[in-house]
Amino acid sequence: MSEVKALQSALAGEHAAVYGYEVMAARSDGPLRTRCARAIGSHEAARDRLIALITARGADPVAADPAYSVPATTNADQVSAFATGVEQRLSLLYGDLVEAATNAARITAIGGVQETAVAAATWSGRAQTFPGLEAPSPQPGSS
Amino acid sequence: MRAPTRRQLLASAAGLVAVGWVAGCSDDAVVARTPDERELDALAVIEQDLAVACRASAKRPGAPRELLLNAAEAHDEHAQALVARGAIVSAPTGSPSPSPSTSPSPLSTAAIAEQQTEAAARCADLAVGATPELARLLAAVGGSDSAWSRLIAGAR
Repeated sequence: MSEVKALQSALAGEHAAVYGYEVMAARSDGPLRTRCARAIGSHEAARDRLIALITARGADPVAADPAYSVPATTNADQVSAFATGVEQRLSLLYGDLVEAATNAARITAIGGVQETAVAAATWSGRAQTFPGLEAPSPQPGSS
Repeated sequence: MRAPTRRQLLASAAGLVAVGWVAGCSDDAVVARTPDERELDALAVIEQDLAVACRASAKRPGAPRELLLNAAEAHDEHAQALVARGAIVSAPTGSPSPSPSTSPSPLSTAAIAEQQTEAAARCADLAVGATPELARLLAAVGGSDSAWSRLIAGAR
């Protein structure tokens, strides 16, 4: 996979993550809503870093889709399961980018694996042994 | 005589690897290793030691036992994966090291979380210049170490 293609894939993942957390925030309240809002900010920052890297390479950053499929959630456990899945899928995309990239893009990708691994562990209470390398484990309540 | 600190023990273990104290590996082979290869060796030793430290810490009263034992398994797997990618360690992964690299007393969860964070930073540094496949593994190990650090620090 080329570096730009891997950057675009990671960006597409970040677009989806922002959308997903926005939906989860709208459906939540209290501390859970605050956590989702923090996640939105974190993924918007990651999205912007990727856009800068793609633009610097002379490519057009992939745009966000108008909407993404988001599972129905009725409680905090389901929101946590959804968030864990989002972060673990992003870890894989950043893992692809680590492999495809060099220099600044690779440093961003390594940071992306770490941030998403920590976020997934914080949501689920469990840490993956090889985030960004292994397929996400099924989460209870995930679809 | 004062017991050496864990940092001294780690440095000692890494040094022993560097000068050839490696079962089944000739002195020449070890001395010829590049700085990055030696750093990989040191990382594998650190992962082994983190596994030992997590298991010891799990025995402390009030420790988050299950979390620490799960972390120990992860660190064992990290060490094994690094060895599979060419790291040289002084003992088989997944078994107690014959080197004196086990701490004399169990580390606190705070100390373990700090060591995990340091290990994650070393993984990230080494991954920047590594081959693509090794870089991905190092990023994964570092990500996992960071995640365990956060969980263990949060469980105190």
